[in-house]
Amino acid sequence: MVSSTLFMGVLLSVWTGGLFGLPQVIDWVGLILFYWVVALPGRVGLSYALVSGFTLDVLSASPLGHYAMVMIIICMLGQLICLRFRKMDGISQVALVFMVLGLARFVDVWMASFESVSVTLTPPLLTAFCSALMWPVVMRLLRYFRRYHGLTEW
Amino acid sequence: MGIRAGLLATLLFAVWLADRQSNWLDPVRKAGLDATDFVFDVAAVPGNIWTALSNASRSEDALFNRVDQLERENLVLQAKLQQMVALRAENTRLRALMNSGPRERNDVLATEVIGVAPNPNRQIVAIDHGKADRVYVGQPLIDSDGLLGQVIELADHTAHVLLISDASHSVPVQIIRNSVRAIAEGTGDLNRLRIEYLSTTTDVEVGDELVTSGLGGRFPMGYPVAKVVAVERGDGDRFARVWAEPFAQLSRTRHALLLFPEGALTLEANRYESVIRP
Repeated sequence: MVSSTLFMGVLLSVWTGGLFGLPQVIDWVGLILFYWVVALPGRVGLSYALVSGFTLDVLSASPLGHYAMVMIIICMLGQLICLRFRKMDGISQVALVFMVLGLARFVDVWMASFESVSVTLTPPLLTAFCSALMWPVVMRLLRYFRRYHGLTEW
Repeated sequence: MGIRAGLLATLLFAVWLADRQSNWLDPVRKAGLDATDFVFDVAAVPGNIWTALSNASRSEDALFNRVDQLERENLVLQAKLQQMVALRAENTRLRALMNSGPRERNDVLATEVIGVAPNPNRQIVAIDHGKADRVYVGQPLIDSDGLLGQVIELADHTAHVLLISDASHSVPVQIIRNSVRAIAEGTGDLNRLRIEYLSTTTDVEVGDELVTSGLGGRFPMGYPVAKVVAVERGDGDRFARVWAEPFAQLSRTRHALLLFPEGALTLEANRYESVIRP
């Protein structure tokens, strides 16, 4: 079930990347992974981050390990703050998602600069900002999905 | 969690370095691409449904008009083709008089762009032909207007194509008007290329058309690349800052052509309806 939503995130990344020729501004996989890590930290962890990261590496023609590293960072930060994050109000959650994804995107850009890609199509903070704005929608959809399928920690 | 994640991050860093610096992990990457190439097909489904629905909802009159328009366009292209045949024959005779060999010609294979790689830092698209179709790494791809890019990675039935506007891409070009050679580099902006290594005294003007020069052997000579849109010459600068706009519809094109050396697709000509001989 968790894997299917991450796969949906990969599809959305590919689909929205080609939509109207716009560069990708929403980190769908990062958002979905972050939700599951915060909601089910005992069940969703490094292995999910690793597989989804490697999938993105292969599909985006990046060196293997690039997006896997980015996803591991999102996963680690999610697991560190999950208990406090759940108690926050909506706006604070959006702000924190912005910070987590922003940090992950900076790592992404830093690694891309070592791969001879000196120019990025979208500023890291713009991607983090747009992704954070999508958080309330993604969270509600995934929470409904989790409750509907009765997904629990163990 | 902390120690495990730290160890994993170190391992990933090593994998990343290894894949960046060497070809050791190419078989793993190829296997991964083979296993995931269906993602592009699945992601294209909403677009295909939308196209099918919009086609189905067109009125009969609109379809007749479209066919009429296409027939007229076809007629114009046929007329241009006849002129091209005469020009090609004349060109061959002139080259023979100058003791030059015949100009290289290309077979082309029609292909379709099926997705955009989910990478905000790069400009890479996926096409629906791969190794099984004799596509090779470094192969040029064009659309009806100009050069799109080159193949950088292959699976059995898909390939990744790096667009000419990617910040890491360069293509040798020459100005049609005076044959001055230069390098067109991607800027990361789909509508802008930077033309490098033109001194401030070089004869280059806004509106000049750039085609592939054929130098380097990667791209065949004479395919349209871009049009110069800005030339800046600063006092004391050694090189002019020249900007050009690609002819190809990099962000919109769906149908494209893979260029093969002439004769490379002879055996496949019956297998593919989409093979187009010059």
